[in-house]
Amino acid sequence: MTTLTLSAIEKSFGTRRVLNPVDLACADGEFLVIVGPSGCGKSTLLRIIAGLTQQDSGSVRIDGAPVDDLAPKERDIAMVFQSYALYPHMTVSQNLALPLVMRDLNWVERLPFAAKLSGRVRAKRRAALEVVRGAAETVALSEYLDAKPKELSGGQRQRVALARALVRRPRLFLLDEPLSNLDAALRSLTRTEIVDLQRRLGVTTVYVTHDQVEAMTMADRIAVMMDGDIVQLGTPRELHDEPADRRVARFIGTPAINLLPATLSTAGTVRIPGLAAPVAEVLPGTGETASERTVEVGVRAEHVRLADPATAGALRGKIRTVEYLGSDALIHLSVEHLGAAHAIVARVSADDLAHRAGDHVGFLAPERVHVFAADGRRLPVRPRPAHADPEPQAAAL
Amino acid sequence: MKHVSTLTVAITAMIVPVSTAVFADDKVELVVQYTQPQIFDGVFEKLKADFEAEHPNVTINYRGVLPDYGAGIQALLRESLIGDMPDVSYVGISHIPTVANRDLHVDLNTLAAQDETPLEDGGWSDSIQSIGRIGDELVGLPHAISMSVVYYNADLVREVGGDPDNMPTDWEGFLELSGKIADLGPDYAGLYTPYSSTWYGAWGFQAVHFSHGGEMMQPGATAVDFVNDPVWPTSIKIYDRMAEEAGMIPLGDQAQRQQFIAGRMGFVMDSISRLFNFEQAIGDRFELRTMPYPMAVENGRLPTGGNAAVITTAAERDPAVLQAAWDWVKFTTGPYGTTQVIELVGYTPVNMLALEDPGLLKGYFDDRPNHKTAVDQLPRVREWYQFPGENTLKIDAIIGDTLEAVVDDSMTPEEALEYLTEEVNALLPQ
Amino acid sequence: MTLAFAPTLVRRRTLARVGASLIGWAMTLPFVAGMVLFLVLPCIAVLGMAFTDWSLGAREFGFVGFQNFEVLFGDRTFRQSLGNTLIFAAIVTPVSVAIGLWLAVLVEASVRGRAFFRSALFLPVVSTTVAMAIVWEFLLHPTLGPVNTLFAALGLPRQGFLADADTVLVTLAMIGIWENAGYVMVLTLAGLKSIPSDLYDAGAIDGVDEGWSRFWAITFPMLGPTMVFVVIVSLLRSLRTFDTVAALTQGGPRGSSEVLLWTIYEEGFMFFRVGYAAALTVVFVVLLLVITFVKFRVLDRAVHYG
Repeated sequence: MTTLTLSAIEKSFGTRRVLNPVDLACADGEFLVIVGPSGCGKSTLLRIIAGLTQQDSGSVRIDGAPVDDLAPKERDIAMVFQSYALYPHMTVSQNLALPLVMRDLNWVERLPFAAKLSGRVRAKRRAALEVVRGAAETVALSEYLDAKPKELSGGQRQRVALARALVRRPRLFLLDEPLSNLDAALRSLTRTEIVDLQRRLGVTTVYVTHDQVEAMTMADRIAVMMDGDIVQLGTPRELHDEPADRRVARFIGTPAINLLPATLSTAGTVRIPGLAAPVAEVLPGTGETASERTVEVGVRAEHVRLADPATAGALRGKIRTVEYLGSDALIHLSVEHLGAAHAIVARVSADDLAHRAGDHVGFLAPERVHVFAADGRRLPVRPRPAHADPEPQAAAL
Repeated sequence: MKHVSTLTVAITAMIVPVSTAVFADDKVELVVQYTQPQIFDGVFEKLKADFEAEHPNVTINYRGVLPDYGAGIQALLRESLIGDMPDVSYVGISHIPTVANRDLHVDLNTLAAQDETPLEDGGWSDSIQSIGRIGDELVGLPHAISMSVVYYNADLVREVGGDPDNMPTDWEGFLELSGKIADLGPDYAGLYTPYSSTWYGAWGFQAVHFSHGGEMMQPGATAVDFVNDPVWPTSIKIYDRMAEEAGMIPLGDQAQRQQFIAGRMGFVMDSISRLFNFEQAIGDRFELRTMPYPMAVENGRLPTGGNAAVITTAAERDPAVLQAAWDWVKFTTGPYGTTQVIELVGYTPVNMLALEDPGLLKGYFDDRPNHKTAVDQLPRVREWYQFPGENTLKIDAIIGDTLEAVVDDSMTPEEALEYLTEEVNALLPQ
Repeated sequence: MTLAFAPTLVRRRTLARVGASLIGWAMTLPFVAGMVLFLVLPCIAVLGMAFTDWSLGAREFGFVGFQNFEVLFGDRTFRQSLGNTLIFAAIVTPVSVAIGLWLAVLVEASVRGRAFFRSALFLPVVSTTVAMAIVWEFLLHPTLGPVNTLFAALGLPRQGFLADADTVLVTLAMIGIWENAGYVMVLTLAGLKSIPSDLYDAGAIDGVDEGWSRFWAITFPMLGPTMVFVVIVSLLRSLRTFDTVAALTQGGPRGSSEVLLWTIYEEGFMFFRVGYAAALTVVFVVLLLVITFVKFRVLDRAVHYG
């Protein structure tokens, strides 16, 4: 049973503010991903949880007890680093055993000859070795126990780092961009492996990444960080369907959400210029409808539907490129009335792919849209009736 | 056994035509090398200016700065290999045999023979000439020579009941007085004479040995037997006595001088060339005086230090150059030159005419009693002894090492004599 | 698979390779020429001279076979010199490396004044030994020096230091340590900088987080390659020690501070016995080669690189 609670964590490096007061809670056994662009403060937050960096104010609690005055090793946590941080002069076995040796043996017992003199030390060493063997087996590294890190591939090193984090059975498992040094294929494989492992062990995990795909595929919940703030905390689906603001909407989902300029009338009607029918109705009470203003309409690629250019009520565009992805394709369009620079992307099923670059097409007013106020805030819209497409699974991205 | 290396011939062949072209209008350029710029720069600048004024067709060019006689002879030997020697070099007295062995010099007798007045009449006495003489050849003429005198702290002498105006002249009295000063306290030392393994220690030993009437090697002998030598045992024993009775403590040369300057040492037996140095460093701290080196026998002698002007074979490239070089050497070692050295640097006069000329040095020493001590000792001067063969410098070092061993009590005088006999014989030509 | 067109291809490749290697040689020519001129030829000359009785500046010489080497191994001065050199290196190398390493870790860990300490401790490396020698001579003066005054104040017996045959080598070694420790420190600081900070973070979490355990588990092993370099350089530097001896003791008293380089200098340039000095040099070079060989064979294996 491990919960993690961060309350009002603040941190500045010199005059540069890295973390505005941050609050975050992580439930027992939860896989929480902190995602955000580089420099957003996510790694600093993780280091504060680990105790490697001291926060300026605020408190970190594990299982309800403050750990702010505890050294990293006393917090009973484990951490996997982007660089893996394996000790290059030690074998895999020694790397894995180090946390155990340091925890279970005092300095006298750690002396090189102590095991020769004392049966108790021998027993402790043997016990540690058993745990190491078990951990190595868990990550399928049993045959590499005597290898040095430099003899291993990137993926193997990554697994050693994982195993080292696991040997101590920590209360809290922290991972800092553990996959960014792997190639694409290995990355998606390891993603599943880590999730499996975490599920099996049920250890509360905080995982930091800049890659929203990792976040979406692995997390129970995602905390999106921007400029030192957690801008949204929710399940992958919540983030995808109800982004808190324009930034989150742009950050989550591949390809990035399409944004089109639109107007919001005092009556709450949102229109895209050049399109007769309104695209959405903003719920009243948002404070945005007092006068007519400029807003942005966000449409995900999978919700853009292509049609014949002659179709009434459709916007017109010209296809610039077609990205064929196998099961589906991404079509990049320049929107006619907005000028060539303004492009949107449509995702179509590969089966329906009948377009080529240079074609002029129309595309229909999307039915599922997000409306963003000028300050980026998402304005809640009236749900549209019926005939909505089945929601594409985020995991299928 | 004079034969010139092919390399030298080749280089000389290249240089000669060039020189002829350059000196076609009777302009003569003379290349001169001296060492120890901190001591001699001033005097050589003055001599150059005065000589060039007298000889308008001659230009003196000094070659690079070298710190000491060792560096000077090294440079000269290297330059001789590539045929690039200076025309005149001021060589340390102890290196005269090295120059002679390698035939780097022009015999000054041949040049003197063409002069109207013999050297003797020009004030270069026979004893001065003997310093630069090897066999029959006059290899160099002494320029700035020094000899040992005894510097003493007159205050300390008074403190132990001695009379600074009536100092002992023999070794016995001298050692006794020194011992009394050493007894003043643990920080006090009695005396110091150089005994280190450098050439300086060997030079200091020759002073001790010659003052006892000794010879470094019996004339005509091909090997040494110090154990049965009439004087060697006494001389070596002196070092043992200096350490045992007279309060000589084992220190390096520089540390010894510091001890004296600090006013904690009675006597330093050191070169007269240090006089200006000591006077400056001591100031009013105590009354510094000099006295003649103690003599155990009536005809005791002292070795010379300092340097001598040598004309190298490089000057033979052109008769005009050779003549200019000879004029220059006589100028710098003659009455006028020696006066400049005495007045600007110190040392001992090398030309007797200067002492008789009221415009030069006559009367100069009357109110300089400390300096005069050295002039009074001039009749005792003899050459700095060099052992035959190529190893004389190494023998000097071994003598120094052995003296150190006697002083710090790790060898008895008897052991030292046996050891030295064996080592020196091994280094003499077989 | 290349059988069919192998012959032509091979020929073309060979030509290309010859061309490429010619260009390669041409490009290294200035360096190779410099090395031959300034390293290889002098070495050969020294080796040749070692078998002669040539005296500096002499017009003629004779070949004496191995006589120089025979004399050399019976030469008391040489034996003392070799012994002193080895003792000197055996003191200076480990002690200065240990102190330099300690200083580096200390400086690296200090928050303030890092630049000051780094410069101050590096000072001995850049200052002229001869100038420093004057200071040492004063400090270590047996009767007037402040060090002995301090010793006396502490109730310790006065020392002769450089003037005493029993203490001169140790005293010189102390000066050698003083000179080398700063050098070691600067090299080690560079090595410390290259240790990834992640390793210390990982260590902090694993429990390797205080002074000694952190030093032995992470810092020291990670400094391995640097340490090998530092030890070798320090060893070679201490075997090559010359200027303090030349400035302070000239090998004395009684040869107690004779070291090989000084003896070579003394024989060659003070006694002008070049042939004998060349023989000494040959022995010295052989000693250095043996050490280099040991370095490659032993130390390189024991150390982790990269």
